[in-house]
Amino acid sequence: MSFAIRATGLSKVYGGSVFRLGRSIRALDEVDIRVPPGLVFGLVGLNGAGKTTFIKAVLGVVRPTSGDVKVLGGSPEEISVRRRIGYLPERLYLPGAWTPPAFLASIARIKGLKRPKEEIDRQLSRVDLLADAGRRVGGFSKGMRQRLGLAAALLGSPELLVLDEPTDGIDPLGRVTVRNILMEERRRGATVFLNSHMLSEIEKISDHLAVLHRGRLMCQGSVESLCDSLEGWRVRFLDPPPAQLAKTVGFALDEKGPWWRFEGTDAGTFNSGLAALHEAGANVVEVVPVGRDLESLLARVVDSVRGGKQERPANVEPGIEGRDHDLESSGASVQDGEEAA
Amino acid sequence: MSPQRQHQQDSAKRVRGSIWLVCAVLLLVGGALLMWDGRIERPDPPRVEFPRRMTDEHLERANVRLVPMAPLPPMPGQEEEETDDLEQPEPVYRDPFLDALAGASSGAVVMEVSAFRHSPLGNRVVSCVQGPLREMLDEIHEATGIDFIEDLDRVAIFVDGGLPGMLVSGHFPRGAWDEALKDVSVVTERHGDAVIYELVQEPVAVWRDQFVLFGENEEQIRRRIDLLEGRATPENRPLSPEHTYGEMYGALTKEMLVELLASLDPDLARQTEELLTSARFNLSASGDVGLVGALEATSPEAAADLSRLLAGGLSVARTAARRHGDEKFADLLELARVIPGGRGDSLFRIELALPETYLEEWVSNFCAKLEAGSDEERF
Amino acid sequence: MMRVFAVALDLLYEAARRRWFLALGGAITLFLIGLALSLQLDVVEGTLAATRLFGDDISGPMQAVDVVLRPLYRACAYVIFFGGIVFGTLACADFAPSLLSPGRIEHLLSLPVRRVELIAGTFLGVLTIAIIGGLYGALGFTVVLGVKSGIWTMGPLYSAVLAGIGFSAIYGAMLAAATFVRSAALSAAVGAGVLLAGIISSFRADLASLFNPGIWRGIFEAFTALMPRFVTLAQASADIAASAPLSMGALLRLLLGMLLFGVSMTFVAAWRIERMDF
Repeated sequence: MSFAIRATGLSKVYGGSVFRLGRSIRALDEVDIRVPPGLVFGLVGLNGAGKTTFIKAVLGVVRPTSGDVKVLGGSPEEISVRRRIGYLPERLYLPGAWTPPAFLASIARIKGLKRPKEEIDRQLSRVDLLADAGRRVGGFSKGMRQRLGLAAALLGSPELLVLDEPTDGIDPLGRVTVRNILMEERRRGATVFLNSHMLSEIEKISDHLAVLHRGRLMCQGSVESLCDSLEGWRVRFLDPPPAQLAKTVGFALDEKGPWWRFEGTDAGTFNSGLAALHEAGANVVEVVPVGRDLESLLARVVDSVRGGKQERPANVEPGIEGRDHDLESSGASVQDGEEAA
Repeated sequence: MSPQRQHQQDSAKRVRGSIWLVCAVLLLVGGALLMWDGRIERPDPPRVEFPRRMTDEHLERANVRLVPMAPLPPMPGQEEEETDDLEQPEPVYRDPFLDALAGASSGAVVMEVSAFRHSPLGNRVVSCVQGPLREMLDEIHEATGIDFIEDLDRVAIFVDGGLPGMLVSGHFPRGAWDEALKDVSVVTERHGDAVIYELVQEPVAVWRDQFVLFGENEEQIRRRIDLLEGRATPENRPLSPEHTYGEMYGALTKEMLVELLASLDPDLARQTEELLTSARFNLSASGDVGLVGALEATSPEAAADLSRLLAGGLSVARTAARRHGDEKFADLLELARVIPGGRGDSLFRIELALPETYLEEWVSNFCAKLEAGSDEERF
Repeated sequence: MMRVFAVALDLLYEAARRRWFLALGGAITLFLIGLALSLQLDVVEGTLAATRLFGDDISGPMQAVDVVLRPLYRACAYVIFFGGIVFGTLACADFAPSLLSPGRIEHLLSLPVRRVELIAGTFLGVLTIAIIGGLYGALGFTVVLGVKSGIWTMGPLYSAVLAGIGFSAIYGAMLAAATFVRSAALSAAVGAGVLLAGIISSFRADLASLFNPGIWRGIFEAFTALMPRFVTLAQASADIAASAPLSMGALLRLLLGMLLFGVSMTFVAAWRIERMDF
């Protein structure tokens, strides 16, 4: 099948080229990522994980040291391919003396858009900047600038949207607007490739995820497969249960107290333990199922690497090909790392 | 992707990238070759020297020509000027050549022939001088081997009371004249230090070994000799020693100037005739002609009008020259300018550059008229 | 090619909003208005009979008006040439560094435009700015003097184009420098250096004789042979402004040589940017 983005064995090494002096930095190390078309794909990782380098390689802004990138079926340096991409950089430079329509007209000219005026007005309206069209960009807040950048990326209804921190600096209501726009784009059939530190945002709107850490792909797959699995329950009692009994039936006092945590996914064992504690006089006030979120996923990835045992988790191919696995099934060493830690 | 294919792609990219550098070097070298000479030839602008003031060289020339001259007693038959001073008067340093040109109505043009003797203009002037005496001078040359023309220093053409005359300075041994003219001169008369030979056509006087004087009649020649020898007071001298810079200089009467301008612009010449009083000029003729003229109008208003007229006329003449394809004349006329005098001043100056051939033609025309005048009188 | 024009157009749009260029445009306009209002020329039959500046009579000799105006046209050409080059070197120094700045270059490169087209568009844009600036001043000057004197000449306009081509040689080197070190100051310094070297190279034959024959003389001659001849071009520009005759063949060779220098430097920039990661 065709992918919106297909990176194979992608590596990028910076520096160290002048007479072999200087320190070289491996920003990407044999990264294989497949982005299915028509979905929202989130790329997460800590600072310095190589997310921006990957995006730049996808756009042809950075030339890979080795490996190959195909975007929309072609090389990212092909003009016909770039014409179908919309990009919002992390720190978009906007000429302060320009007005939003002038800036967008410049982009439209280079993209060769027909009837740019209507398209510019439409996109400005979508990002809620039409009322500010007469103002100079230099007077815009960070959020407004970010929204203008998004409008630039949206110009011409591209097939692939590559967004580097799209909600950075945008207020909560603005984030909702951006999220809605991305959902609209998804419904239109566009592929959205996101990179963001706002893990909750990514989790909310992404269909697929990939986690990069220190230039390596740690895992990738559907959000459900990576994040939404049940790990246990948290329970709050009216009065604390007997500690010994609680421990016996599988409960442990949460560090943040007054919650008790039950680790395990078997509902029968959980209910048996809960009944035993109830009989011992502990009345249940609140029960919350505990699932694995993106934050914990990222934490585990980092912990696994820190543990030293995880050298390279096996990649998880996107679910489209029916080889969808979660982290536990595909990367058992993460668990090992966690235990070791 | 296989490592081999990866390597091939990388090599292809490197070669593609290097093409820019190779082209850059080729273009740089190409540019260097094109700029190698790096000079842009320009046609030399006309270089004309305008004689605006006495140079050291001219000053020295003028000083050498000054000689101490005490007034001589009158010739027999002439009235002696009354004086109360019993002592001998102090000698006055004068240039006798210039004194000989004095006269109330005279205009004179002096050519420093020795300065441009071997130029086309020099040849033309010599030819003019030879005109009336060509045969005689040839005979002298054949008989004595003396070439008077080679020894020419200055030639002055002047108009005295409507009659043209010519004064020539140089080195002219008297003995040779006597020997040469003994058969052709009708009368030989002495006047002061001069000998007047009455030839068939007109009288010629040789003063000492220095000056030869041609005139329309003996009376005119005697008056000039008196001026030369200091017997007559040189009033209304058209030229003073301080005016003798350039290869040619003179004081023109209104008529002479109008004649000069008529060839440029007849209307201008006509208006000049109404507004102009007199003019003096100095001219450099070592190459193309640089002429500086000082003109006096009838009034300051006339000076303002005339200076505008002349400047406009010169501008029109330049345009006309350009239109007729006379580029050289047009280029030279670009140097022309009129310098107004101060407020309330009826004097103004004009600077004009002309092709050297133009002056040759003018001298030729003047000499032709001189000869024609002589012929008319003769016949 | 349209993308090159689009990049150039953006650069013009950006320049039109910069204070430097607005100030220059304002200064030229003020000068021309001042000249138009304060200068009075009394022309009689093609001769400048009187001149008044701010009401004061500054008349000199009466001369054909076109001849009198020639030194003015020459001065105008020199001011446009060297003034324009110095101004352009300072004012255009940060176009390329700004183009290559983080957040902008990657955005531009994500658009359907080639790296080389960005360089070509920037070069073309700056060249256009230089020529437009020169033409504005020259045209205004020609119109003011034309109206006042009746003398209409295209000379100053041609000389402004020559000045623009002269500046293109400098800007090519500035552009190349910016691709190596993204610094407006360094870009301006390289421009100033090329200008200086170009002035020296205009007198290379005379200056070479100051060196003893040998390696240093050879190095000097080789280096200066590559450099554009700014003084020679400025003189030609002044000649053209004053409608003075000059050898067109030699001028065209010089112009082409200088243009090739600018383009070769732009090719160096293209080579460099093709190898760069952003």
